[in-house]
Amino acid sequence: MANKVQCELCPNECVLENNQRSRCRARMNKDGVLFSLVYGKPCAVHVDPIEKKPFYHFLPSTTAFSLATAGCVLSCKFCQNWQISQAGPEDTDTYDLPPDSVVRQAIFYKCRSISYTYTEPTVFYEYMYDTALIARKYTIKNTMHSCGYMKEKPLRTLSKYMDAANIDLKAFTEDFYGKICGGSLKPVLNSLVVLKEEGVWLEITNLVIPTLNDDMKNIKEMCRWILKNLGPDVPVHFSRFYPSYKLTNLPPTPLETLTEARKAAMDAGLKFVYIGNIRHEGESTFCPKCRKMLIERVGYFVKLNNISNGKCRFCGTSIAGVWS
Amino acid sequence: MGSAASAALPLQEYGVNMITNLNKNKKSLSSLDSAQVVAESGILTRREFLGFFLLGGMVSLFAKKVNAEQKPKEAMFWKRLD
Repeated sequence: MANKVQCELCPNECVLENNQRSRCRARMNKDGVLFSLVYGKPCAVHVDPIEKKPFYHFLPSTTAFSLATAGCVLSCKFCQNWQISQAGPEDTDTYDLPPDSVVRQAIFYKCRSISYTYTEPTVFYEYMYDTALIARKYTIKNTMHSCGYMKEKPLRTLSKYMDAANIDLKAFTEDFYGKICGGSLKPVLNSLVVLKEEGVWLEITNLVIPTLNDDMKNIKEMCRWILKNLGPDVPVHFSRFYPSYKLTNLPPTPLETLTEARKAAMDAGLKFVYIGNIRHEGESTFCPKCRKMLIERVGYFVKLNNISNGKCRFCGTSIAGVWS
Repeated sequence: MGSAASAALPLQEYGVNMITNLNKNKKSLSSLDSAQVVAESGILTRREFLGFFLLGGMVSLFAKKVNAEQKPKEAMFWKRLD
């Protein structure tokens, strides 16, 4: 009983005996004190186009200094980065990169932002927080791609330094979150609302997996919830699933399913709905008023940009986002 | 216009006196002291090499020890359950 601690970072709320690891593998109770095992030790560091995160309404055609450490608070059976997300820090090759070095590297590579991504940034919260704080001093933006599985207090604390967040809304049923991800939906929805309240630029990604979360009824329900609670300007990305990790028995998502989901979302009233992980017109941004193409994208690359001072160059409609 | 006899030898133009150097090296090979040759040539002796090797090893081990003893970062959100 002595030296028992409870982590209050994510809804898992791990209770740890002495020398026991958290479920995310990145935290450990040492003699009654909870320590982060991944601080300053990223296992993945890259310079990526911001479109790869994906952020489509946040500093388009700029680069993001992207990093991740080992570990994740969930255990999704379809994880695309399971080699590092479902591993402990000792199972991966890590760099020694303290927060100030991350910012220095971002400046060196002329990145406009630092992105906490690939695995789940919640597991390296302290590292992300300290880095974001320094980055803000040097006018470098902070972005994260997260599953949103974080408790409210740490999320609000982090939001002061976070400029944009792309949250994976993996499905719209508790059943899917419980059986496929080992988590629950409610905390994710709460995180989306908190981020919106805190003024963090928000985009949502929904990976559409054949037979598991491609039911149009649920997708429509999800879109209605987004519209009601977050507003029509939040970009939603329907991403194509490719067989991975424990779901290699399923086929890639058919294009028809993605286009149907996009149409359902736009019919529901969402203004910016995208299709990802596949070359399609749905990768580009269109003006919600005059319907002309504003940003033409091919993969992660921007071919043309018709947004000037945050407005459509053709009809002058304001386009929600962070453009400069 | 200078004649061929008065022209400087190519190496002399660079300040190398070939005759002097030739005279300096006139000693027979058997009279050379190998230790002296090594010392004069600037090549590391076996002892020096070993010294540097051990020093490098010790510095490396020390750096690893310092790295390993870096205090892990305390988490920001947690509580004791006593």
